[in-house]
Amino acid sequence: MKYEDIEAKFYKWAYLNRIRIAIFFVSYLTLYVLSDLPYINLYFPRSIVPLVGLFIGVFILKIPIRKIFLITSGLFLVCLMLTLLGWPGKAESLGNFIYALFLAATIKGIFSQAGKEKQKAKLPM
Amino acid sequence: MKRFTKRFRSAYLVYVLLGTLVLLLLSFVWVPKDSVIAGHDSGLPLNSLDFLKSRFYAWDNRTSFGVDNSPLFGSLTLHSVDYLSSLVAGTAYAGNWFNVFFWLSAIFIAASILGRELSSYLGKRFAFLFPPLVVFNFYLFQSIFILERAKYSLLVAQLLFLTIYFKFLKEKLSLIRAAVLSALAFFVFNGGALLGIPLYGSAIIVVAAILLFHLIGGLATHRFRVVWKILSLFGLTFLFLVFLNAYQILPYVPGIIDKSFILHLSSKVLVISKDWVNYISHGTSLLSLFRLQGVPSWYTYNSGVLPDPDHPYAKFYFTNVFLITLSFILPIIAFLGMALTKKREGKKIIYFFAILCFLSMFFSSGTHPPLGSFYGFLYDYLPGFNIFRTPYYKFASAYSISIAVLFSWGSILASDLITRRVKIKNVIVSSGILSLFLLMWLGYHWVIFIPRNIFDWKIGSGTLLKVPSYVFDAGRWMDSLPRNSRDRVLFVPGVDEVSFADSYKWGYWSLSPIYYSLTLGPGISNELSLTDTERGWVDKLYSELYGGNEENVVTLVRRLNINYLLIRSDSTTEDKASVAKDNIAKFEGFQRVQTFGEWEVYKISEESQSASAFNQISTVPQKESYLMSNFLSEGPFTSQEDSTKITRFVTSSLDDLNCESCLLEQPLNQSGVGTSVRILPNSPLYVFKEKKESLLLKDAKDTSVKRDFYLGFIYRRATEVKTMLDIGTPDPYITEDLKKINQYLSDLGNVLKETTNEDTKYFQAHQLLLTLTPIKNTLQAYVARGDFAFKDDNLKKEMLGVLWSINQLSGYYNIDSTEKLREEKVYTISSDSGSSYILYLNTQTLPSNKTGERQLPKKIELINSTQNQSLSLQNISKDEKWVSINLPENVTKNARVALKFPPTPDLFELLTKKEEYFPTGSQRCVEGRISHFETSKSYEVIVTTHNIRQELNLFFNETGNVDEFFKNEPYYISQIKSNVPFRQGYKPSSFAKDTTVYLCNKNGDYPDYDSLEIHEIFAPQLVLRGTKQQNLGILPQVSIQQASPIKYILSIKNAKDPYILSLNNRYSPLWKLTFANSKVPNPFFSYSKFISPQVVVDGYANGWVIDKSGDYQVIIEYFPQELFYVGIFVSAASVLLVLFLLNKHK
Repeated sequence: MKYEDIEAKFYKWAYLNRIRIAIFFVSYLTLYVLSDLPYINLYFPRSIVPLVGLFIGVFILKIPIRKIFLITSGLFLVCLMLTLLGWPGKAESLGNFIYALFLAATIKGIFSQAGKEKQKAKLPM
Repeated sequence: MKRFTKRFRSAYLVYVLLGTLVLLLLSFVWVPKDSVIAGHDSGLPLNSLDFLKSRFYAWDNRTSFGVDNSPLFGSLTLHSVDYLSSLVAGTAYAGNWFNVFFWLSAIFIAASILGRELSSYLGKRFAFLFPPLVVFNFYLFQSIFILERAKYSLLVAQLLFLTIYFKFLKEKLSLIRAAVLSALAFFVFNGGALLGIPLYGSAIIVVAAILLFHLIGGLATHRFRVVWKILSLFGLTFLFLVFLNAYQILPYVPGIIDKSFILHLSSKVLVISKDWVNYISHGTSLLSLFRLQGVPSWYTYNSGVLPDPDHPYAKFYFTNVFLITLSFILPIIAFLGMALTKKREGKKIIYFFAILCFLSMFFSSGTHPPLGSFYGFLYDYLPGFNIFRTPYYKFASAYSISIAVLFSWGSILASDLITRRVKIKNVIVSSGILSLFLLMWLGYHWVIFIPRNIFDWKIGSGTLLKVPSYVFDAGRWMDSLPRNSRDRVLFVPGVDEVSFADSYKWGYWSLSPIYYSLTLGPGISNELSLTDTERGWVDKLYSELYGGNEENVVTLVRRLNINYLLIRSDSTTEDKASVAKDNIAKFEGFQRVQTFGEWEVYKISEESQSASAFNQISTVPQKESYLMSNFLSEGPFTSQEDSTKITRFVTSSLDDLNCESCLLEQPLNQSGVGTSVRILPNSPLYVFKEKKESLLLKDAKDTSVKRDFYLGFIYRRATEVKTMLDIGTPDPYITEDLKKINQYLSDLGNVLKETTNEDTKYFQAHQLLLTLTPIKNTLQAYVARGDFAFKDDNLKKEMLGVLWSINQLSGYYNIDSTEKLREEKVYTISSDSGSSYILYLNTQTLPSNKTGERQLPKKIELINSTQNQSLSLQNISKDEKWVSINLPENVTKNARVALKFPPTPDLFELLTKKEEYFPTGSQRCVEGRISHFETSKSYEVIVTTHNIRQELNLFFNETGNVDEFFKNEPYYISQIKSNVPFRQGYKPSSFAKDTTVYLCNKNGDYPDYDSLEIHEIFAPQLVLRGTKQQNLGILPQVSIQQASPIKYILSIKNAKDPYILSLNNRYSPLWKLTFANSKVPNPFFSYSKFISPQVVVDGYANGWVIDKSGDYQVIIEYFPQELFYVGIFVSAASVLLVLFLLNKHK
């Protein structure tokens, strides 16, 4: 695939999902503000915001599970590089994102699986 | 198809048998026939039969003063397996090869059963791949050195429970049958006992994952039928479990009712320490868990990413490129199933195990960032959650199951992908590729297969040993002691005083003393499980033994019901053994009766017995029970609180007087305000805080309450100021806060005028200084900073105003200078219970002079409200530790005693000047030591310098430190910035043998200082003894016979007057006394007719007041045993019932 095609594909995706992208940004901002509120910030520190943002982003932006797996596999390889280069702390931070992505993919998977089953009206979950 | 299924079944059976055979061979390799797994905190008995026998009783007599065993009945199953394994292996000990094989094969078989069940969703290959992954992983093998059977048994139960759940979901099992089978699984593989409840963390996660999985599905479909079905299964399983476990629940009920369970739990389980949770979580990052690592002992504390150099194999996984790479490939394969699974049923299974995986990862990582704050929240606020203080160890078994499922399935998908790509569809090729994935997993865990690795808990220390035969001989001898004279055997030397480990030259190291796992005969030592008072007694006995004082040794052994001393020359503290042996050789009343290799047994000619009668007792305040062992001649003791029940027997009282003036030396150690505040004056919520503050001040009617409020608010606002300065809040907010502090300080000055009382002067001054000194130090440090000059004028004015007001208030009580306080110690006499009084001064708490000799007070004054009177020291008591001071008869309550000492000498001894290398970099230092250093003392370092341009630092380096975190590391105390004399308090750690003091300059030059002095901070112990006359009667003769560990029969002869009957076992209100021939009441309906012990004798034993004359028999029994018998009946009936249900609901 050429660079131009990727760019065109991205713009197309962004245009089709403009409302979702806006909702995602608003949600992220809300999380950011939440992490600044007294008492809430004790248990919802700012360091968690990107993780939770990523988690809800998977749902809002409807990212397919296969793509999540590809992204996380790539992230695992980046983590490997960082570890081999002697930056285990950075690899650890990246590992948290992998967790958030996988968790989101699992919940999304259960939802879609249950939805399909409901359609077929076979076994209830 | 049927034929294929039959062939699969047969093949699978052969596979499981082969697998267990491999485990059998490996067990032989891991634990050779003559080797024993023993020590650490394993609970692996050296005599499994004795240990099993002890578990049938609610009271365990084997250790020191005895301990309540009622929460441990559940461990009967585990210890039965221990015993059976020792029978098969032909050994006395439980840590044998067969036990290892039993538990590993139990896990393998349970995993095979689950694998077989899941194969109907994930294919038959899954059933072959899954079981070895459950067995060979770091979660399981990190604890194999203690063969953690409780954890393994619950892993088996979880695997079986998951099988039952899937069968139930497919409607292969009815609700009743599924519940019965689940309950039976957890009944047999019960995780040890009630005290092992935290181990159920993983099972709870499995239950939570099941619920969450079906709830999410229910939310998507808006149908919750399955959720209700699952909830019914859980509810019914729980109900069956309660009835099946009646034998372990019922005996524990009285403990819960009388609240002693809180004491028990607080000592065993609920040590609520967030620090410990943080420590356990330091290496359990989510990435570490993905990489199948995260075992806390692998990592250097506080790094979380560096290997612990003491760990036998962790380093390989941080340095070996191949292993590091593999650690990232394994999770990629594991999660392949999420992307590539196509079949609906398969997807459901994979999503379920993925949920289980992520949920268990969250809990296993504990308080490790970034999600640790949620765990911290649950730990702080969810009732009961604080039992999970070792997250990885409690939750990771669910993770190990789920990741094994995911990896097995991922491997199958990957193998299919490869065969499709290479276009070879052959069973052999496909199986070969699958075997490669299995080898990849096993290769990653290669260290498991090296015995030396897995049984070492740190390099050079392990649990795989060869126990000398004489140890077993000694155990047998202790077992052979006749039951009616089963009195205690003192193990000399005792366990290590710092680590409380019992360790031997032949490699044994354990946190529980060896006799606990070796014999039924009661041993005694300064072991970890002693209470403070018990430890006081035992430590006193050891010190008298090493000091060679036969008279006191005899008194103490009689008092503590010890009839034998066992000297262990193979102990790692052999020097003490030889000192004790030399001393005993000089003692007349001790005779060597047995020799077992390096162990020698001495009998004490004057026999003691575990019950006695007396009619005189002394009292001490409960918190001062340590005084008991210091005043042996006073006879038996009880607490002042208990003494109200037995006033007619009390003949003397002891009271440790508080050194009130010493309180004022404490604020010196306060460096600055410590805590930070979240809601600051610039927060919109601050208005609520201010409102509450003004309301509290307005409502405070009592002036002393008002004073406390002012102090509290001043301190809180000072912390606000500090926080604002640290985070750079705009100046006006800080100025406003400082203005309010100034106002409060002024109001406080007015309140003090109304509340000052001469009697409580020192206490009030202490409170004032304790609050204001840190504030002063904080603000002073800020004023000394360069940027203070550039601050807003109003802020500077207010801040200096606060400092001025604090200085004014600090002098309010007109307390003399620090130097004066150091030389004059003031005490208030608070007791008036006696008719005549003597003071005892503890010479060991007196300061040392330059030559190391104790400095006695140069003057002692009794200060009455009317006049002052000089007192003098009397002759040294026979104990030599105490010097007596006679008080006049007219002494009144609240009179004061002042001890006046000569000035304390400077104890700093300059050694050298040199460049030192610290973790923070090299610095040029002045190095010295403290003359006549003593661990129990406190010191004050005073440094004066005129040169404030240099950056001086003070360091202490203690030798003898065994703390693994700070071993041989000097610790930084404080930076010296000001040109006013710098004062720093220093209390040596309990393990410090000597201390080197460094005064260092960070700027490259040697420190430029005017003086460096070290003085002792001391608070002499002064004990007031009051005596009074009582009409004492005649004592009866008592003889005792032990019928069983929970039952004693006492014969009383010639009882004429009331007396106290004491049973020399650890106090419990559940010890019940009845008179023989009186009708023994039914425990359920007449519980109150038993007589509970009324007093605690000598701080640990049971005492009953008996007012019955003549000759009679008394029976003392431990009540929970009755309930165990009832519980056994209920459990047996429940087993029959569930078997009946199982049969009926086929």
